[in-house]
Amino acid sequence: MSGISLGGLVEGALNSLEIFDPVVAPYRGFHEKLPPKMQQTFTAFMFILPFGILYAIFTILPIFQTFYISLHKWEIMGTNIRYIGLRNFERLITRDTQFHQAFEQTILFVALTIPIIFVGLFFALMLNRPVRGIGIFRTIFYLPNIMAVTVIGLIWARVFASSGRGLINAFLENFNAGPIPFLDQGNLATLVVSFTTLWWTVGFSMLIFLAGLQDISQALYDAAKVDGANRWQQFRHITIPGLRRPFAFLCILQVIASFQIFGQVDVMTGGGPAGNTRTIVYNIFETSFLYFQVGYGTAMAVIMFAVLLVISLLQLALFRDQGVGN
Amino acid sequence: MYRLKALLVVAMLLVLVATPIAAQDAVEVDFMRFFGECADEFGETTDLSEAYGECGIIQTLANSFNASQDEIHVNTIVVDWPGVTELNANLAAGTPPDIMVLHGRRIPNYASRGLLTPLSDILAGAGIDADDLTESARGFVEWQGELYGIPLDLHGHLWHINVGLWAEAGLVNDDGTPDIPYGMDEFLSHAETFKEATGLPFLGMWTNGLSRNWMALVYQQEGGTVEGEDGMPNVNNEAGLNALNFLMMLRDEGHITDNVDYGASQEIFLKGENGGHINGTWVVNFYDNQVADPEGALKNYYVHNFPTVYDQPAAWAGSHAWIIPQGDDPDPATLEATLTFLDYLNDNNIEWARTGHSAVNTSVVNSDVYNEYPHRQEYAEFVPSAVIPPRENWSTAFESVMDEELSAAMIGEKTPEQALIDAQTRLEDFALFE
Repeated sequence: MSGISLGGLVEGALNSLEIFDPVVAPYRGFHEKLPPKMQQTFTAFMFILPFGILYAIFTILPIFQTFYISLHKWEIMGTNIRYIGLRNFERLITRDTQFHQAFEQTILFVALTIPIIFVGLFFALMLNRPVRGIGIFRTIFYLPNIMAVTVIGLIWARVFASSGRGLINAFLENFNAGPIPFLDQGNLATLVVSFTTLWWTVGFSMLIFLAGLQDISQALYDAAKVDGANRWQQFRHITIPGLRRPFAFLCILQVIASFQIFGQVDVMTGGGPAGNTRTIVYNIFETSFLYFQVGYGTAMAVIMFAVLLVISLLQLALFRDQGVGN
Repeated sequence: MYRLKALLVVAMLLVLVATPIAAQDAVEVDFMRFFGECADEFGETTDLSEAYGECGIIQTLANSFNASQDEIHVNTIVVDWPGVTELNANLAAGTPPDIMVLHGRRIPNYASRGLLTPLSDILAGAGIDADDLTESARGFVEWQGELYGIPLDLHGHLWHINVGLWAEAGLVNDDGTPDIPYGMDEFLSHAETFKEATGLPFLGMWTNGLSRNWMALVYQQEGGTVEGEDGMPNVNNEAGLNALNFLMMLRDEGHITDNVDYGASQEIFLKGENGGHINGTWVVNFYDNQVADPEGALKNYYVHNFPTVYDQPAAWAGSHAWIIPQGDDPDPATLEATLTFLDYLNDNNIEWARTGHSAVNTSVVNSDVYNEYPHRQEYAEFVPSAVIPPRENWSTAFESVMDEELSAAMIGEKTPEQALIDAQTRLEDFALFE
């Protein structure tokens, strides 16, 4: 073993790369003929190329396929495929009350889950202190975020179950109160799913804000204190402006994530009661996989894509006006 | 270097020795099913007499088949009920299972698209006597005169009764059996008597999935139907409104436990918190076992046909069926192995009937063993009163649309009239969309 060293292994590995010389020789020849500035750019592009190819195949191409399929009657099993122009969109917009309800429900979820950002900010402020053992609390608050949505959904479905099987209702039974039909009344079920989403994802918002808070120079706070600023003034004039970037980032992500809400609904309510928690993505799933109509389902996806694109562009424009991204 | 080569050779030999010879030669059959996951309890069980419950029996059937011979190995793939999502995704990917359990009413959807292997001409060669199938079960697996599956059972909704509580209310006959009411007046009179005596609701059902009970009540009325003569949905009619109003009246009068899902409705019944419970044939064996539990609240269990409150008996019914989604041109070796397994399943239909489901082979239905199964005679009228859901393209969406609209009426979001109008519109849109 004395003859083997780490340096020797590395050298051996590098030497073994010589087997690629015949392959890269033409590239090297072409590369050397380029002007020096172009050489760098070209090399950078070559590094990006493998990812770019995979990205094009697995992300860009399916987007175009979605547009293509949405113009067809197309069954999930690949049967009965027929071009029908814009009829899927006409049905969606003019007749499909279930889609209209799902759209309204999704907007409601977006509105109800936006406060997650502010709860995340609150937790981040609480946990951004030089206290002993604070790392443990940060880990605990972030922990739900690494759990699978199925686990989260099952836990909270059990907590909020409508009869005495639910943790809360079983507790209320001891006082001859309840049961509260958490998952069997429309508005309550919506609130429960929103609360579950908050519990699951608030750790992520907290983490981003925490990183943002630690980016703000302590010198700014020290200077403010010297100038006599109280804690609110420090928060208002240093912390909030310092968190503008993470806030913009989270706003866009939160809106997109809330529009795409699916797992919690699938596990906890199955879109019920009476379709009260059916969201657009759940509707797409039902239409495409249970009712076979994948062409119609993709038409819904196209509409959702358009809505999200417009909202994201508006948000970006808004934040750009406020100096974020400049 | 020599030592390294020697090590590699030894390792390869070990791998070969560790692989069972039989498994190397056996034809693999992918067997997709729902009924739950119970490999921890029945994963190694091969003795059918030790198995109980849907999952236990079906798992043990696969195990015992594998243990009975070396030529075919069945790989069980457990999917979530009703398995349609997984089947569709596998069909789309070109990797369908070799054999799968599917609800019979869904067969036309797949058969009409050429996704199922037609069986009429090949069953006899595999030793399966299709003529032994009961007429009602056969109706589920036929499409345009061709057999596209082998039924496993005929199942449906029954009335599960806590006789102990009925006795408290004085609703039992001299022989201790429950005094079953017939017709609306008797039913409501029993419900009122029961509530006064026990302070509990007379009946339980999962109120977020009422379409099956509603459909049974529709068909109990003279001329009641959910399907028009043209094959289109017809749910917004007088019988439909009567049935929905009846269910809402039961809820308003406190005769049914409100706001419960499937699991809760089952638990409430087993805890003795209502006098009866509408659930399927699939729980008869399970409930019967609960009575044997000394710590259980259900001490005296009886099961009857779905309550008749209108003119004639009718109960929602379905069928589990084995399908072979290998298309029109299956691999001969795989098909042969699959049919051998199918023959084994069909031969053991009596084992499956222990769950509480009705058997589908005339020879089994007429056998003494079958007729002596616990409670079997108590719901003997289930099969003649079974109502099969429509077998049109819109039936795919029937249960989910009706569950949703009936639920909207029950929780007060819509009037009963509006719920049925909306259900009709949605089902028509589904049926007409080309």
